[in-house]
Order: sequence, then structure tokens, then C-alpha cells
Amino acid sequence: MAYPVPAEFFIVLSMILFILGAMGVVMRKNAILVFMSVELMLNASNLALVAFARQWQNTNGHIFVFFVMTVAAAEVAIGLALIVTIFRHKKSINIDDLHQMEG
Amino acid sequence: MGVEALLFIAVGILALAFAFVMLTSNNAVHSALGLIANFGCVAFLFLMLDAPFLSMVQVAVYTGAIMVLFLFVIMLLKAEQSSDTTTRSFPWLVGAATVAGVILLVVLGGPIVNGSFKLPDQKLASPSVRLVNASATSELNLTISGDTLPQPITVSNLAFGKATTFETLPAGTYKVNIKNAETDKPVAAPQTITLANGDVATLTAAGEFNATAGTQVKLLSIPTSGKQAGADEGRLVVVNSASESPVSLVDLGPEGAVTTVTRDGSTVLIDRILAPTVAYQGAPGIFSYPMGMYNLAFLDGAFNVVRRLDNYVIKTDTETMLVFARTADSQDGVVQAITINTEPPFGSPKAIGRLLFTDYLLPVNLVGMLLLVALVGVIVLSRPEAEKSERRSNVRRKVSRPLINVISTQTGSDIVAETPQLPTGDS
Repeated sequence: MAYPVPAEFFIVLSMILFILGAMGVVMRKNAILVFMSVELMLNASNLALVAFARQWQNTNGHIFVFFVMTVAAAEVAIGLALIVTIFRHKKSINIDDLHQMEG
Repeated sequence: MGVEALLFIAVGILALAFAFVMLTSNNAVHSALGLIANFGCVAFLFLMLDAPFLSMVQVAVYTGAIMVLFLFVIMLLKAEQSSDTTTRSFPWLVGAATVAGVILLVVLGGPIVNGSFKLPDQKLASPSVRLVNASATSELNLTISGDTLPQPITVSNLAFGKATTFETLPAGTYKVNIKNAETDKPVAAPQTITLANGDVATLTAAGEFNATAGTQVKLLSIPTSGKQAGADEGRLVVVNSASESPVSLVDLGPEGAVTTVTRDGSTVLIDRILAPTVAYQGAPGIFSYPMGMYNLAFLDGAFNVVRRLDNYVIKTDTETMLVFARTADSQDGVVQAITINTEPPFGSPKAIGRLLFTDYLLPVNLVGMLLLVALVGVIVLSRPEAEKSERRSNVRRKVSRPLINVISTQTGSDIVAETPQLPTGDS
């Protein structure tokens, strides 16, 4: 079915957002900002899933997005609790200071 | 450039701008706000993609819960004060990441933008058909035979007003033979139908068979789309199987006390002609109507009411075939209704809920348990335990002494300098 905005455009937008998120993960020093970039990447993949679901009229894409959102919520809760605990011990969330586990 | 394309470009550029703000802002709170605005733009894009439920879940869960949690933690840890750009262990990181990102984008996005990569179109499913007996004369034996079928499909003793379930057949041309169930004599000439991929059809045997009058049963192929046109609507298909002039279906309105209707009668009735002039054995009248209770009526060619359906309930997400026929018992005509359930509109909460509670019931429960475990985990992780661990490490450090010293302090004797000798045979 031909839509006014074809699904390829949404895929390109999702790709750009994903790459921006990946660059944020690599570039940022604050652990919370790294986490937010991961959320941006998850969002970009959600956008791609919904675009594919509309292209092929398949509601399973929406279901997958629903599960991704739910699991992302659980992951954010635990990740932020971890960051708070680390901050309590090290008094810093600069990821360059958190290298205790390296050999 | 339509409105949709312009909207997409505007909202897309806004989303990218807010993501860029999130990436390059020194203040963590500004980054979080940029990400919230980005999620809002993505929710709008979900609306453009026929996903209203997901856009609202995005606003409520992602923006309203996850980002608010982020803001709480940022405020708690005073992270907005910590500058992100003072010390850099790898000064070349920003440039390298930008170059890698641009290269990746060009390599992956180039073929899409210049059109050499196109997503394949939706694959159409094999045709599925069902058989309906709309002929009031007798029960029918129907046989479908074709080149693609190893054996002809036979449906026996299909009573008036009954339908089979949907069967999936390979695409092709088929011949349908209709016979009287009791006498096994054909009631119609063998008819040929062609099925293509993506067809969902209801093959209706309509008409009356009268050997003396020479009328025969005809097979109508009625497309059944299976999808609702709009929310909270039901679809009706009107089939005329009575051997007389064409019938129309009208909505008589709430009072419904009229028995005779003329063309220039009440304007209410003229506005609400639902299925005008369905010819005998002709193309059926298909329409969608909002759900509710109506007084419907079948009118003949002279607009006289031949059959009334008082307090008829149209349900949402259903498709009902109303067959108007005459039986030997009732000369007024009898109406048979055959109802199937159709799918709710694509992307609506009802469609997603239906899938979640049938196909995905186990994953939904597992994700629920995951959320509960996450809840317990967060509570455990955020317990205050700083002093307890300090004391424990001090205690542990005390125990890391040789066992000899421990024993000597316990027994009160001096530390033995050399290893004690076991007593030999001669003392």
C-alpha cells in the first residue's frame, strides 16, 4: 500500500536517532547521560518497529514495542538504583572514575 | 508535497534537534528536558503511523514515568553541577565518534534515500473462502473442485442460513457444484470462480430453485474484508434471495410505526436508506453502521414494507449477512442473520489488547513478573548499608592473622617461635 510518507523515511529517521544515541553513549562522561542515550537508542528501534508494522499491517510490531517499553522501564529503575548506590560509595558518577573492575 | 510529508519533515527535524540538545548540553537537566521533548516528537510520529495506543503509552510511560525518574535521580545526585567537559581521558573521542557516525549513516542511509533499497510490499495471504446457504428451498451439498486441489472439497447438508468456517485454498480457478441435499439433483449450473491472493470471500448460494418455474440458485462471491471501517461500527451485508423485485433496507427510526412508505414520505426514511435496491441474486448491499439498536425494515420495489426487524442490535466489530428469502412456511419472507467477528481497526487499543490476551498471554505475565522483580530489586539496592559494611570490613581485617598467633592469644601463652616438636620415643 502506498502511503504519503513511505516507511523508508521513518527507517532513515530511526537510524539517525539510533546513531545519535550510540554517539551519546560513547561521548558522554556522566553515567546518567549515558543511560539517557541508551533510552534514545531504544526509542529509535521502537520507531522502526512501528513503521514496519504499518507497512505490513501487522499488529505484532505494536506488541513488540509494548514489551520493549515495559522492559526499558524496569531496566531504567534498576539502573538508576545502581547509579545511586555507586554514587553513595564513590561520591562520583563520572564513568572514568568507575574503573574498579578492570584488571 | 502533502500535509503529511511536511508534518513528517518538521517533526523529524524537531526530534533530531532535541536529540542533539540532549547530546551536547553541559547541564544534565537540559539534556533530560531535550530528551523529553524528543520523546514527545516520537509520540507524534507514532500517531502518524496509525499507532494511537502506542503514542499514548509513550507519553505516559516513557515521558511521564521514565524521564521523571531520571530527573529525580539527577536532582538527587546533584549531577547538573558536575561538568561533563572538563577532564577528558580521550580527547580524540568526540571527533572519532562523529566521523564514525557520519560514515555509518551514509553507508546505511544512502541506499534508502536514493531509492535503491525499497521495503518489500505486504505479502498477500492465500485466499480464504467460506460457504453460505442463502437459499431457503432446501439443504445443499456443495462441492468445490479445481486443478490445485488434490481432492474436491465437499460440504454436505448445509442448512438454510448456515455458514461454514473459513478455509484457505491456493489461488486459482475453481468450479462449484451445488446440489439438493435430499434428492442429490443439481439446483444450479456449475459455476466458476477465480480466487487470487489476498481475497477473503463468502460464497453465497442465493436464490430459489423451482423446477417448474425454471429458476436456479446462483453463487455470489461476496468479499469479506475482515477489517472494520471505523471504530464502534458494525458491517451489514444484505442478500436478496427471494424471487421478486429488488429489496431495500432502511432504518425506520426510533418510533417505527409506519407500515407503508412512499418515496416522498418522511425525510428521515429517505436519509436512512441503508442498502438501496438489492436485486434478486444480484450484488449485495454492503454498508457500515454505528453500533446500537435500530428498527430496520425491508422494502420492496414499490417501497412497501415487506419485513420489519424491530429492535435489531448491531454490534461493533462484527459483520452480519442478512439474507432475505421466502420459505414455504412464511410467504412474508424470512430474514436470516449470519454473523462473524471482524478485527478492530489497526493499531487501536482493542486490536492490541486482543493480541496480548490471546497469543501473548505468557510473555505479558512474564513481563509483569519482571516488573515485580525490578521493584523488589530497586528497594533492596537502595537500602542504606554504609556503616554496616565498614564495620564488617574492620572485623574481617582483624582475622587475617596466622592461626598460631590466634591460638596463642586465646590460650594466653607466648608466641611460639619455632614449630613445636612432637615427642619422640625416648624422652
